[in-house]
This record gives sequence, structure tokens and C-alpha cells, in this order.
Amino acid sequence: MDYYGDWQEETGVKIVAVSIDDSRSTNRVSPYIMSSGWEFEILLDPAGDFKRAMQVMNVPHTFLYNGNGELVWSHNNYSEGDEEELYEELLKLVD
Amino acid sequence: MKHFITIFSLGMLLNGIVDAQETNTGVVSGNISVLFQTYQEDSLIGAVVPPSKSGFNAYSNIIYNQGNFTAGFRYESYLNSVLGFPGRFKGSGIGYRYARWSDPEIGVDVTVGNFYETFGGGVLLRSYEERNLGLDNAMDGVRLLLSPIDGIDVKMVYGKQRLDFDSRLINSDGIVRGLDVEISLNDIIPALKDSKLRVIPAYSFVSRFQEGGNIVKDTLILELPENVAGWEYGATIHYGMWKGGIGITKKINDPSADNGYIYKEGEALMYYLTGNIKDLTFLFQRSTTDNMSFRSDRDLLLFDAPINNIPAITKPHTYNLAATLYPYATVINGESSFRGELYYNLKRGSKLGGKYGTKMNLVFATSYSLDTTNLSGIDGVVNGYQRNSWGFGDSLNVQDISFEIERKFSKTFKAKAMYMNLIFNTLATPVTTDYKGLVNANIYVLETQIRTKKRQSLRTEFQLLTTGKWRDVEGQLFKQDKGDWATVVAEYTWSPHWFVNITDQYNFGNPNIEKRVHYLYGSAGYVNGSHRLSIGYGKRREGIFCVGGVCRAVPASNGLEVTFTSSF
Repeated sequence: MDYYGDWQEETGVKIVAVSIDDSRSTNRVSPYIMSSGWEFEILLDPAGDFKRAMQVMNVPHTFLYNGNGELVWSHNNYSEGDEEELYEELLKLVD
Repeated sequence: MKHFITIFSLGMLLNGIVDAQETNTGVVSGNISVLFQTYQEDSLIGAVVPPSKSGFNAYSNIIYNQGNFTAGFRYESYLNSVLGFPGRFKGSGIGYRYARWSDPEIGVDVTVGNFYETFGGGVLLRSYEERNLGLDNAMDGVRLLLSPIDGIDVKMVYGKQRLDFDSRLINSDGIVRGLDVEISLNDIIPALKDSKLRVIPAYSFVSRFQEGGNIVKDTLILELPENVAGWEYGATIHYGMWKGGIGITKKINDPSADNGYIYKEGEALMYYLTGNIKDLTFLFQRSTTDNMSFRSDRDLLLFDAPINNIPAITKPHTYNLAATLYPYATVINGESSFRGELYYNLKRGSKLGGKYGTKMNLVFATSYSLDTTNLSGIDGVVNGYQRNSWGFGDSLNVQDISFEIERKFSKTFKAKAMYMNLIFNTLATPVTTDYKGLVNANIYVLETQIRTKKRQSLRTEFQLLTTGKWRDVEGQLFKQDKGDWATVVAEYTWSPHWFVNITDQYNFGNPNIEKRVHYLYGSAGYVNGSHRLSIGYGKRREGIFCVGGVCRAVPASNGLEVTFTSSF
């Protein structure tokens, strides 16, 4: 998330994050985001409808769409360094 | 980022993504999850081998979508179910199926068959799934969602609820009917359109029908109510970055196995406020629930056929010792609780914050019994007790205070530390049979992450849990419950595909020297795109497995576990 500003400038990418926190923790999402200073759009999916529609099994799950709305890359789970692969995929789209 | 689905898109909005999946020929998507476990006996930790020697759970969701039409089903297999799952889940078959037509332009969305739905915060109606726990109270009937004009959302549901699975879906006895209306005043009153203050009142009504009959209590013959209704008035208010909410819920007499078949009405009051003062953000939440257990079958208990869900007040912890030894679950018959959270960030580049900034948070959560007086005579037999106020009663259920600090020191190193102080009443939430009363625990956690090479990193966790002492009748001192624990986790990842993980949970302070056991568990896995395979081997202690505040007792096990998940 530290790279968002740079990526946006370079590639015009837009990030939308969808929180799957349920009714126990939806209230915690907004203070967490305010304090983290994230500058992208955050949506809530407390009942998991969007998660089911996207067939997500493990979170976080990252989807990359091109300008025509076509899915070009997706990755489930996150481990340190995964963002580098995402960045490479992003660069492929703007080349 | 554990709780997020992230979508990266170039120059388009989310609606565009969903539209993109729709073509003239329709699109099929799906997922699959397989869990296979073998068992070995280990009398020391109490691990047993079931008659089938192994457990196998699998499911697959298939969804077909064309334009405004969607249909889907879930095929489930329990051959036989993995230990810790509801053992009565048996066989293979369809456990969920539905067809849905929705047209956002005219604001109509109809589902027939199974669906999940939540009204507001779920205090009156929440049907949902936690597949990892075998928890699923899906509705089976018809749902209608209407949005006649911008700013008004109406939901209507009518159906039965999933209870069990035996080669097919088995619903519980009662019929559930509900209506929910949410109005965004700013959207329907033109003068408020651009107001910074946004107000969204909401109203819900839910009713259950179940055949009645009579029950005998003491010398009385009482008639069971066949129709039980509940309703909620709520409102959410936004002002800039500040947000608050309130909900008042009431339910008429509903004698049930949960409340000991008393006829007292149920009530709940909940409110919260979140906002920020400069860089300090906060959340305060207060909640009192009284006799609000609501099921589609009054005679069922625990995880069976709940219509509603009252979320636990405590923070959903993620570290192993903090999350699994003393997880708090709402006392279903009633509690009065409070939570406060503070978040503060030391800015990037500031003197204290360091080059990358430092995040801190403090969470305080507590829950007490209700402030009640027991009734006597006939009134006592029929109604049980009366509540004197919305305030706190005398008996503590839980008090959980945790402080967390997270800092990235350099491009290759970051660390997180947590301290937690816990007072946990094992009589209110019976997570252990070894100790009855208040357990005092201190938990210390240090997590570090080092980027060792390009795309490789080592993550470690060191956790310690110590419990207080108690004195027996002879004056001898003992550690409470199972005493002290330590957990060490080491995980190495080769992004984006491979990981290995080793976890040792060591009960070094158990008052019973024989039970000072190492629970060693190792796993390795491969991730590629939307597929994930993981293989693990080792011992797991008997305990409580929780997902999002819902917990299930899991027996001790020793053996091999293979999981595979994939979506397409």
C-alpha cells in the first residue's frame, strides 16, 4: 500500500479494497482506515455477497482488471514480495 | 490486509467489473475446497482415531450468470466429516441452490431457493455461513429486494433455515418471515442532498412460526406461542468522517431451550460512535442484550438454526495464544458490554515515527452479566427475572485489554508487538473444563518480518501466555487452568508461490507435569493465482476454533492434513 501513489502516477491504476469484516467488526474498519491513511476506495461486504460472487476462498485475494474490465491477473493469499509481481503485471498493461 | 479483497483496476469502477463478466452466452464461474485429514492415536493429548481412520470434507460452488440472471448451487461431501465438524453432516449432495434475477435499473432483485441475508447489524436476522466451522443457517425460500426510488431499500424474506446435511439439505422446523426498510433521508429530501450530515433510519421486522402445544412448568400448564415476532428501530448518522449508530430491538415472549422456557420478552440496545480528533481515531460501542436468543426451532441450542447473531464485544484476535485459548463468545441469554478502541499513527518521516511511520492501537472490551432481579412465585416460573436497568450486573464475563504497536524499520525489516491483559470467566463462556471461575492471563507477542532476499521473507512470532495462581483448601498454590504457554511460529515464503510454516505450541507451565506437551505442527504449500495447496503434519491441541467470533470445540488431533482450494 506504500507504493500506491507512485503506481497511480506511473500507470493510472485505481485500487478498490473490499472489507469482508462481518457485523462484529465492520465498525472497526473506518477507524482502522482513517488511522492507516489509506487513500483508496474502501467498500464493505459484511454479508459476504461480493466474496461469493467473486468466488473468493482465501483472503486477501487480489484481482487485476484492465481498462476494458477484463480480468488479467489474480492472486490469493499474500506474502511479502507479492506486490512486485503485481507491479510487473501492471506495467505490462500500460506498455 | 488479512480481511480484504483488493481490486486493482485501470480507469473504471466496480460496476464495470461485474458488467464485464456478462456476455450473451453467459459465464460459468466456480470454486472448490477439499480438506483431507488422517488421524493417529496420541493418548497424551487425547487424540483419537475415528472408525473411518480419515476425514474428508469438500464443497464446490458453481455459478452461472447471463445478463440479469444468475443461478448456482453448492455440492457438498462429508465422507466422513473431519473431526470438529458437526458429526451428523453426512454423505454427498446439493446443500445450496438458487436462481436469481436482478435488474438494478428498475430496482428489483428476486431470489428463489437458498440465500444469505442480514438485517442491519444482525441482531434480529442474520443468515450466513462459516464453512470452516460447518456453520450454515442459509435461508431456503424467496427473497425480494426492492429499491423503488433512490434512497429507499426494502428487503423481504420468507423461508425455512438450514439445520443439517445428510446427502441433501435438511431445514429446521420453523418458518422465518422478515421485512427490512432502510431510508437514506439525504437522497429523498432534495434540501439535504449536499448536507454534511447524513441520516439513515431503518426498521426491521422478523417473525417465526413453529407449531406450539403445551409445556408443564411446576404446577402450571403453559401454551407455547406459535408466532414469535421481533422488531428493531435503528439509525446510522454520518457527519464527515464521524459516524454513529443506534438500534433498539424487542422480541415478544419466546420460551426456548436457551432461556429455560421463560416467557419474558427480549430486548436489546446498542449504540456506537467512531471518529477522529486530529490523528487519533476512536471507536466506542455500548451494548446490552437481554434474552435475545432467536431460533427457527425453539428446542435447539448452540449452533443450530439461529435466526439472529449477537456479535462478541471483544476484538477478534489473530495470534494463536490470544485467539484460541480463551476466545470470548456472547452470553446468549444476556449481557451488558462496552468496547473502546483508540488508533494513533506516528507519521512517516517524523522524529518518533521513523522513516516509515509507526502504528499503535489500544483496545478495551468488557462484558458483564445483566442487572436483574429474580422473580418468585408464579411470576418467577413464567417470566424468570426482571431487568432493572440497561446497566452492568455484578458478574464479570470478560475484560480484554490489548495494546499493539507496529513499525517498519527499513525496506527489509518490520516488527509488531502486542501486550494483552485478560480476565476471563470460564463459567460464562465454558471454554475449558479444567478450571471454573476467573482466569487472569497476560499475553506477550513479538512478530518480526525480515525480507531476506528479493521476494523471500522470514516471518516469526514469539508468544507467551501466563496465567494467575489460585489456592486450594490446603493452601497450596496452583497455576490457573492449564497454566503457562509459549508459541513459536516461523514461516518462510518465496513469493508468489511457496511457503513453509512451523508452529510449536508448548504448555510448559501446566500444573500437571505429564501434560507439559509440545504441540508441533508443520505445513508447506503452493499458491498459484487463485489456487492453493497446503500439506500439514503434526499435533493439534484440543480447543476452540473460532472464525469471526463464532467458535466450535475441536478435539485434539495428530496426523496429516491436506487442503486444496481453487476458484475459476
